[in-house]
Amino acid sequence: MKYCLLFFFSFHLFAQALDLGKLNRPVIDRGNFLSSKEVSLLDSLIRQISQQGGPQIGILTVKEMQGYPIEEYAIRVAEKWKLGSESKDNGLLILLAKKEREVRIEVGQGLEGDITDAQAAHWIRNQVTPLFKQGRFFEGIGVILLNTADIYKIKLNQRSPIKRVRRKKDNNLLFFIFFFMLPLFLSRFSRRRSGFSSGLLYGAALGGLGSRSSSGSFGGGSFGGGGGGFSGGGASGGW
Amino acid sequence: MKFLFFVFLLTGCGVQSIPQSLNEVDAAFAEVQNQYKRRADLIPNLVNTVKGYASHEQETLEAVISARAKATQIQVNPENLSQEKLKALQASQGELSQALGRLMMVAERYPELKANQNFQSLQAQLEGTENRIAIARRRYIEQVKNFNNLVTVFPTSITNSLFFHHQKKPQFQASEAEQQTPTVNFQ
Repeated sequence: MKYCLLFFFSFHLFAQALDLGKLNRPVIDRGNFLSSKEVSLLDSLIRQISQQGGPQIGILTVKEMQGYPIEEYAIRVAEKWKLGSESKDNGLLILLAKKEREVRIEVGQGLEGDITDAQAAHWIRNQVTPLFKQGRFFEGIGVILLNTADIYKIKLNQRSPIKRVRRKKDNNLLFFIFFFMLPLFLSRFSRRRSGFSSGLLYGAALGGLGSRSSSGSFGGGSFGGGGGGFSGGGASGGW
Repeated sequence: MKFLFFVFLLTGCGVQSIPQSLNEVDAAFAEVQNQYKRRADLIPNLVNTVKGYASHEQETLEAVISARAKATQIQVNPENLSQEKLKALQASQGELSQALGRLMMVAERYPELKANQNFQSLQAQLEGTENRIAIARRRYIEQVKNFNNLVTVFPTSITNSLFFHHQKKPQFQASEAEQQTPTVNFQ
């Protein structure tokens, strides 16, 4: 209710006051929450989800929101970026603000039936913010992506490691690094260098990720909103 | 033929844009009402859940129920929406917001209620709905501004006075209650 009122008074000042950035890739980490490796991993997950008919997801992190409530900040970004397609309105925005220690999942109009406010709030309260409190931003964001993929029955190649993190909600970081990050980068590295020989070791665990990611969409693929509409669905939380 | 040419000249002068903008205003208002209704629909469930844990907050609960009843009584038709009617709508919905705010504040005092899954879900839905209301109102305000500009500012104002004779649409205004610093805090 607090934000509803603030909203009303401040909206007309907003457009001029803030530079919302340009959406040219799925993950824009202005708040420096993520390492570059983590960014490209999330990037890959997001592209896999949208390629398999799931929602178009965008992640924005900012250093601060200059006094704007996160609900307003998020809808402004969503309106500008227009994530999702115009016909399906299937965009989803994840916003993190460093100074305010707040996170919001902004759900596109077309997804509101599948990802209800209560559902999004549940993710944030029980899964995401507990991880964020420990500084595990990559995993917290990863959980949102996996939950979304689950809803749309999308099979992600890297799912099983994060899935365990999500289930157990305890210190699985080592497990995570050994079975997910390390193999992923080793295999990418080795494939580039010497073909598939050493990548075979991890091939079973990773499935087709390496080949998928090297097909071009990973680093340089274009990315942009498709005209999706938002009406304010989703949930926010602080950590 | 001459007439057609005349109409063609006017397409840039509001012949198309005024009716289009009017439709946008109607749609935006329908969305506002839709979100108000959505909020009203949540309330019985919310009240029942709170009642289970905080039954002696009778006064606060009844305030919400009566504010809801008042707010849902006001039926507004976007076609002949007057400033007074919009004001009445806004006042009753504002009262409901206040009553709900107090209820949620009271709920803070009941740890068991706060931990209740159903309550948490309802709280999230209520927050989401408040947010949607804010956005729907903002969009209505923008559409009305656009429409009012078309019917009052030259050259489209001429087209309006020749063909359409539309009046300016009423605009949402921040009520006194809304201008107070909000004290409700969802945490």
